[in-house]
Amino acid sequence: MLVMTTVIIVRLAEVQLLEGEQYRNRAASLLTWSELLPTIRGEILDRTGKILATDLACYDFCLDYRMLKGPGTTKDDQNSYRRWSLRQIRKIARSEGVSKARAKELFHERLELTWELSASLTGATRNEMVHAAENTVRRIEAWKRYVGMPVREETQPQPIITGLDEETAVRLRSHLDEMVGATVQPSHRRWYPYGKAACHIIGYLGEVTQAETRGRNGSRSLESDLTCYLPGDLIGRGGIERLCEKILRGRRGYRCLRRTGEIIEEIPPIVGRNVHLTLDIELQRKVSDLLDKPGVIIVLDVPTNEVLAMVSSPEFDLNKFQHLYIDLITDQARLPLLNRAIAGRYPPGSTVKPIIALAGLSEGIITAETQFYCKGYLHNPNAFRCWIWKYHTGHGWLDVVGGLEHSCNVFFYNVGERLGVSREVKWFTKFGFADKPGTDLSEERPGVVPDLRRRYSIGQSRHLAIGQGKIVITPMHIVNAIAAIARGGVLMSPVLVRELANRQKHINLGISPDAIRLVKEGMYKVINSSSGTAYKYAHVDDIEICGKTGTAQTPPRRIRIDSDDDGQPDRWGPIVCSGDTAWLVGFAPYRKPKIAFVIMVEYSDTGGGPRCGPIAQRLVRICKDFGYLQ
Amino acid sequence: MMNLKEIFRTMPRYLRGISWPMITAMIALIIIGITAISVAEQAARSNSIVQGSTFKQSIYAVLGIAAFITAVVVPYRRIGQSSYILFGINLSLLILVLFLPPIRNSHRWINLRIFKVQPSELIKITYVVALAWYLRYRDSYRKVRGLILPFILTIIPAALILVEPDLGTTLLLFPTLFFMLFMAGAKVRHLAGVIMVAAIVTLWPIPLEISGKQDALTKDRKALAYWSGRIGSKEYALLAGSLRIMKPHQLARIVGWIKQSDRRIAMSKGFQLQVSMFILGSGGLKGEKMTRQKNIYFRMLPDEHTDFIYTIIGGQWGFVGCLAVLFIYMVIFFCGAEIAGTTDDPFGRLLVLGMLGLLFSQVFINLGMTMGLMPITGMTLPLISYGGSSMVVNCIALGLMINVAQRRPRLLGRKPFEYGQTRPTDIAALGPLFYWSERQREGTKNDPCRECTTSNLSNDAD
Repeated sequence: MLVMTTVIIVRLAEVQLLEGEQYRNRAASLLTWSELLPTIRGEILDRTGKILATDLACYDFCLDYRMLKGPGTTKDDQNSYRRWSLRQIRKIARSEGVSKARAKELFHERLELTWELSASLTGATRNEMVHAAENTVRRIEAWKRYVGMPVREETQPQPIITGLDEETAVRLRSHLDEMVGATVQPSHRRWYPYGKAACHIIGYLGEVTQAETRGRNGSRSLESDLTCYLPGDLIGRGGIERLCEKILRGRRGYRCLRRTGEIIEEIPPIVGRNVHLTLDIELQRKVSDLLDKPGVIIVLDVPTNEVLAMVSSPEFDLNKFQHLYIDLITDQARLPLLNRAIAGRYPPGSTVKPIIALAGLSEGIITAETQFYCKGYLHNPNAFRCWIWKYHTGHGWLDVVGGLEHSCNVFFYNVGERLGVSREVKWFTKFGFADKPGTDLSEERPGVVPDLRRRYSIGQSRHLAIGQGKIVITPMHIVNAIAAIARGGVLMSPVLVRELANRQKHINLGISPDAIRLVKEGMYKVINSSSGTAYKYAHVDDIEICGKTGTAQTPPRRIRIDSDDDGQPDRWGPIVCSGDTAWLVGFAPYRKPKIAFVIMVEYSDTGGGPRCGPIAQRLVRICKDFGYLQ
Repeated sequence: MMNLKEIFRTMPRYLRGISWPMITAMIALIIIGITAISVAEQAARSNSIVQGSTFKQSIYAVLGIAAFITAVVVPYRRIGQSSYILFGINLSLLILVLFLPPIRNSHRWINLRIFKVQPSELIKITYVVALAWYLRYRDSYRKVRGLILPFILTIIPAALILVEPDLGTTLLLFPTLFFMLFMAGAKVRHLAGVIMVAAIVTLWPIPLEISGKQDALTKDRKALAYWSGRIGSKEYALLAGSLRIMKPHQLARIVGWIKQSDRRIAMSKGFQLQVSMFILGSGGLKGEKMTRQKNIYFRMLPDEHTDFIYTIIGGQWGFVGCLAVLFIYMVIFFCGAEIAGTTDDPFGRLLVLGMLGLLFSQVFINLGMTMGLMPITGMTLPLISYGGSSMVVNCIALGLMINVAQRRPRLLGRKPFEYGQTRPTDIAALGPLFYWSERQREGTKNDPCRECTTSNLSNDAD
């Protein structure tokens, strides 16, 4: 008796006095929930403040987590699934007024029907839904493992089909009583008001990969929890969304609340900062209408080198990106996902002639008075011909201005021959052709110039001088170089994001004003002299446009075939596109350059002048209408 | 008028014999119980079954006191004479209850429309009375063979209650039996032997093939097994015999109790115990009055107003409150012990000791389970927990003790038990107080003044 009393008292003292604090704390910690609040991504705005991408209110179709997970394998899972299904069956029995057995049948019917009905009402495929469900389960299980105890999400509906509009939501809601475990909840999604316009620049979001979520395993502070990516989070996968991920993302919020609902601690989410682009979205839309074939138009603001428009055709609708993705990625003929402006590499053809001319003038190979005679070919009619040989005999004596005006190959063969490959490459490199174009977008690819560690023949130096041979560059490279010439020899990297403008590089190339003047004059005459290569096509009476056409012979595009199904293309298939790359690069106005532009149409059947000239006319008119020439 | 005069004449004698501290303690416990239930009621949700239980408990308390007075007034010898009949009636009620429709999945209650009777609660009283009546003038239980009948007397109701099922009450009968036998003077080695045999039987390892099965039962068994592993291609577990026949929910409770330190198990299988510990722990020294946080825990605790009322007391009034309740129980115990020590009637003495055994088995099992010293079985805390049957039965138990107290000789020498061969040193086990009181009495034995006032009155001469 006394022994037992003593035991009881000792135990009481142990529980209440010694370990009391510990129990109290554990009790307190179990009574609180902590939940993470979703991030709100910043907006992407154009230079006039129009919204290009924003988080928009929408509806999500949600299914109960236990339904997504199914009966599971562990005992706890099975129990929670059984409890949930029993509750659903009871609910059905009550609402329909049927027996338990019938309700159970109905439950199983509806379980199957839920997937079908929701798929047919929203237009989502079953496969997408299953994929979303798997991801959700993975995410929540990871979160559960991390927390180490049951989490709230386990008993909550989880979004399966996201971004539904009001109409679909209403339609779904009217069918909810034919489903089990389904709800429609308000949510937000990324919305791109301009759809197709600037799709390549804005980029798109995708779910994080496991590697990207791995970062948080190291430190487990609250701060790292809020900033890290959890499975299922969206991350920028291309374009500005990816480039400015850090700016746009913001930080997740945190809320710690009691079971009774009162909030103990709350760290509100930090909304991601907005990103201001230098693009003018209206200009971009107008400009993109000018292209009817795959091609590129870039408009740069010469004084600041801001990108005013950067169109890569064909475009796709960002709002339907998820659904279109498979079509987009498999279209090998048109390559719609390729941002041609900065990632499509083409032989520049005659558009590099102004640079070669500058190189020749600066290196002292030629002067303003130097003339070469064009008889239609250099030495032999079978090799190194001028383009005019097809129609005519030759250009005759030409100085550097005439060489540019007529785009005479023979003149530049002579210059190139005297420059040699190494000095040509030096000048190409000076104009940034060997580097990336400089917009910092992740898609950017560097141009390819000959590797100087190898030896090259004189023929190769001649070809290089007319932009053929071992040189491919992106349209952004060439327009940037032309903008540098228009600026008087200062190379600046193009700016796409105002927030990142401080990264811009200014390089004075140290070219004499006389050389610049001669090249500009040559380019002026291309469009404004009646004998210029683009006079017929691009001349505008009231605007003095300077330009340079180019028609580059280009290897045809072939489909790549994966013959052994290992996921890696290993063989070239049939040709899908062939033709020349038609170029027209230039700047306007002549005397006080405001804009630099490039128009490129790939696999064109005609030359740069006839193909791109009319586009240039309209482009410059549009720019004038928008006031970018003042 | 004559009658009234007679009553007035005998009244002081009655009242003098009454153990007032015990009655005070009883009323104090009832009041504490009602207060604690009202705390639980305040914390409970509006739709909970706890609602309205304070009021009902007050009514039960009144009923209990009525039953108490009845138990005091009717002479206990009279009850003893009819004890076998009462026991028989109660056994037949226990059998009857098995054929009645089950209420809440067990055949525990007889529904009499106004209230429900629980024969298994009543059997506590009738069993103790019958056993005391049986043991009263015997010494057969000094031999092993003589123990057989008392055990049969216990096993019959125990088996009937076990099938109801009501494991708590079943388990209660055995400590009571042992306590009574021990106090009556059965040999310790016999009782220890019985306990040893029972322990060996229940803990005897039995091999069990568990390969392939992955259900909860197998997992619990594996968790409690002495050893588990593979022999050849099959998986075996060496299991205590009693665990083999236990139902899954009982097994889960035992797992929850033994593996308290494992947080995952504590929060699932041992959840009730865990919540109990949370509340007790957050009570601290002086208790923490109904904070919002604890309020929720009170809600989360199942059976908060019945089996886990002590947890509520510990949470609300802390260590001090718990000690106070324990102290009040001690008062009852020592008063009871004093009654048992001073009565000269072996039946009365055994009756009191049986009731004490009954009460304190309940107290210790209940307290033990609220603080994780024992696995959770359905056991109420006498006089405090909510519940009519429990209240009435415990009041009757106390009433019978007082009944014995009234009818004991007011002053007497220590009388040996009827067998009278040896001085029952076993009583010494009851503690130093007994030694002290005995020595006192031995001292007074030779006092002539005391001697002459000693009247060997036994009050049942009415």
